[in-house]
Amino acid sequence: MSAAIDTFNRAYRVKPLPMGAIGTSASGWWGACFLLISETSLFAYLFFSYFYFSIQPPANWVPGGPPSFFYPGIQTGIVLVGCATVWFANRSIQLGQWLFALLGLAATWLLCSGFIAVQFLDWFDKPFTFALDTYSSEYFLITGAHLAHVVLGWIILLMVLIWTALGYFDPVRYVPVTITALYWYFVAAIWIGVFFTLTCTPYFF
Amino acid sequence: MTTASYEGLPERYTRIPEIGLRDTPSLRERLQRMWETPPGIRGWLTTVDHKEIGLRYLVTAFVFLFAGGIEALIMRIQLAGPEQRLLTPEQYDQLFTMHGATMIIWYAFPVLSGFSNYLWPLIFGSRDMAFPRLNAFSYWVFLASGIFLYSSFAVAAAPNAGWFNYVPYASKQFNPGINIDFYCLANIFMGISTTAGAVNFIVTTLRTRCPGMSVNRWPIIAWGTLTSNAAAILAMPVVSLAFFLLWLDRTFGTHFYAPASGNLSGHPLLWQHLFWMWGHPWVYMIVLPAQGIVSDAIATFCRRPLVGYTAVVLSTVATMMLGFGVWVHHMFATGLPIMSLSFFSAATIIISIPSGVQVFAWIATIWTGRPVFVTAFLYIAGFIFLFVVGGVSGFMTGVVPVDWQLTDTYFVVAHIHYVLIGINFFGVMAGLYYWFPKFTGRMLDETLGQINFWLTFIGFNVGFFTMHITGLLGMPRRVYTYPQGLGFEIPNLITTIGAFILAAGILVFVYNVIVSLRRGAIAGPNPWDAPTLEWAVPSPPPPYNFAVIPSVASRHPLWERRLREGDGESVLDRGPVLDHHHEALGVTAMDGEPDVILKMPSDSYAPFLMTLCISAFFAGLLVHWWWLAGAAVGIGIIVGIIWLWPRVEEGGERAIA
Repeated sequence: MSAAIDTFNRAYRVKPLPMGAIGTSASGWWGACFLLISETSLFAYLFFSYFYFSIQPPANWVPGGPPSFFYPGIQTGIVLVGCATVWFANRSIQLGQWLFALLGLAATWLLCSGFIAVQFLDWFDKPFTFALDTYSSEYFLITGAHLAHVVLGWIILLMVLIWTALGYFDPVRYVPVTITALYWYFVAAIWIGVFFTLTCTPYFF
Repeated sequence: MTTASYEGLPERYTRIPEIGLRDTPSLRERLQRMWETPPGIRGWLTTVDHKEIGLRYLVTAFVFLFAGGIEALIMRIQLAGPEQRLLTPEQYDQLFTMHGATMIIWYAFPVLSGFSNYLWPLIFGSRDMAFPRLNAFSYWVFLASGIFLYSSFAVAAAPNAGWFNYVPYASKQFNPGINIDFYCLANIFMGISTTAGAVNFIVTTLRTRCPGMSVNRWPIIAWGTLTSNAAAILAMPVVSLAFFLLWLDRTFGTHFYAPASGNLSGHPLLWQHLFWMWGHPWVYMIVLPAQGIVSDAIATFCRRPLVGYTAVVLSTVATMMLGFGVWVHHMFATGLPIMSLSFFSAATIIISIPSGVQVFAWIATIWTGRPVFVTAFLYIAGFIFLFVVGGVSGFMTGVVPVDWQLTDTYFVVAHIHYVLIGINFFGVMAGLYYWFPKFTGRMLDETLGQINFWLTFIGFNVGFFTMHITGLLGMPRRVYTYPQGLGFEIPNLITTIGAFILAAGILVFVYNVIVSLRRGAIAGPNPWDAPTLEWAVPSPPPPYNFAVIPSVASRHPLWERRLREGDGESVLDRGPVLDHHHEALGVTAMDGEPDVILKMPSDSYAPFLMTLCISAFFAGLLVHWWWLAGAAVGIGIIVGIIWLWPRVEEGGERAIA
């Protein structure tokens, strides 16, 4: 009998349990983590398909020589600055600084819009089209897959910005902001992979 | 994470869970009102009850099993004798493609998701899955993608390039119809369901269990399903990508698989890599949960705990990890470097070690137990036997020179049926005989069950063991007929007879279900005297599962007085009542310590509407109505926003002080 009471009491020492979505104990946070693992593996397979061709002869398979650093360089800057602004937004909402959180989200959303615009400029600048050859197909596929995730991030940022502006969040209920930040870090990390693969590696092989 | 980090939360966000007694009628009434789905079409479209969804998964998967089975029987009639002309070559191609795709993708995995969906919260002592609406969504998408695939028959353009759909045969140039577009899009469509379901299973396993349900106490089916769904989130993207690239090649003339005029052209072998990088893990994903069913049920029917719990768990995980490194054994005959073939051959052969560990654990459990020879146990024993036969033929084809002889013969067809029918279907049947009383409250008839088992077991072995010989005689797979005089007549006739006996066995099962639903013996909560938590609730369970959240102290909560295992005793008759709106307990991932009171969502139209949007999207892509696809995306985004809108009662929006 005493053993039974032990098991039970160990589980429910008289202590309050938090209720609902709180920080990283929220189910949504866990779901987002595993969904992003799946999305990350998608990009691993995309890079596999790129290198499957690029390591085969002939070398220098990029039409017109290795790509320019200009637009991809700007995009790299944007995603990195966006990491800082979205981190700032998340930190601010945790501290209850509602206005700073709003500013951080708005700044990230503007950066996200800029990224999308620069990606389109880069696309229009290319001398080849989607269906020209295998390189062009791979190039538009990988940048397009990344851009689709950025556009989704644009929608997420906009909605979380609206929800924050409506006053839905406080220093306890804020996990959508954290998930948004996580999503942006994911988009940024994948961008670094895209940048390295598409822009840097053609200079090596 | 410990609960310490929540100290200092405002009081309105915390609560000391009220402890109540399980058998309090007023509590049960309150929970019943709170959790039950209203009857009628509205309840039917909006329900998020995991038990309802689990049964839908099982029934729908069985409908696909029957469809795939009928396709197989038509082919077997065609092959019963030489030079038959029941089917044209094109019809035959469509039938074997649809048979393979249906069985492997729309039956074998979803049927296991059905079990897991129904059982998860019950074996874990919880109220629901972690994401109830996502759960409904993954079912609707599974159903819609299957309808999408089968609508290809309506326009006489079913996929016709085999379930692994090799290019260039599946390329636009050689296969110009809409057949392959159906297949590409249906697979991407189904991938959404599998991925959504996988995330749900993983988070449910890690988060929504009862206190004390630490990792070393999970039933093996939990390990099998967790492992296979963890693999799903890593492997599904590659098959969706493979099909997406093929669809791009076919629709926009890109050059992933198709040759180009530029300085480097697409490569058909990329298809095989991408397809099998998913395809082989998939094979393990559709057997590991079934092995889990067997590992759990065998304990009940041998009246003792499974021998070697830890070894079986480690073997399950090891099999899956090795399963990611063997895909090239499907490509031994493609001219890859011998170094690569040796590596993949070795990896394939090594898988027999964890598989062997499981087989010996089962045999030892039977050997040292007191087996009860009911139908479920017969299916378990049949499962083990067929696993060994299928494992041996797999080992044989894992050896490169043997594979070169056997590639594309009926030997490979025999092997895949031994593993898929043997380790999936027989496990599923064992699971159905075991849990049917829990699902319905009534027992399946034993006499019919014995007839059912022996017909399927004999029919299967007559039909498919013979196929090994057909293959060794040199008959290639996927030919719509064969000439007289090559020695293929007798084995093919025997296989056809076996296939019909197998089908008769399955019909007996269907009859058994229909009869037992009406007249079966009343089961009671625990007809098998089984050890795990799902047998601690009534059959069928109430919508809220557990009136109070149990806490467990061992792996076999209902046997622990007999086994004297664990530290302390499980407490099932009192615990937190969690009766403010829909609530469930969240626990720490490893130890199962109470961590948080989760606010669960209620019934919702959103999953069904989202599925309609996705269906319209894929239909638009299929017929190149880009406006429809675009509109579907736009509406889908709005539905998604409504779905995810933070709500106070779900603990998403801040509570006003």
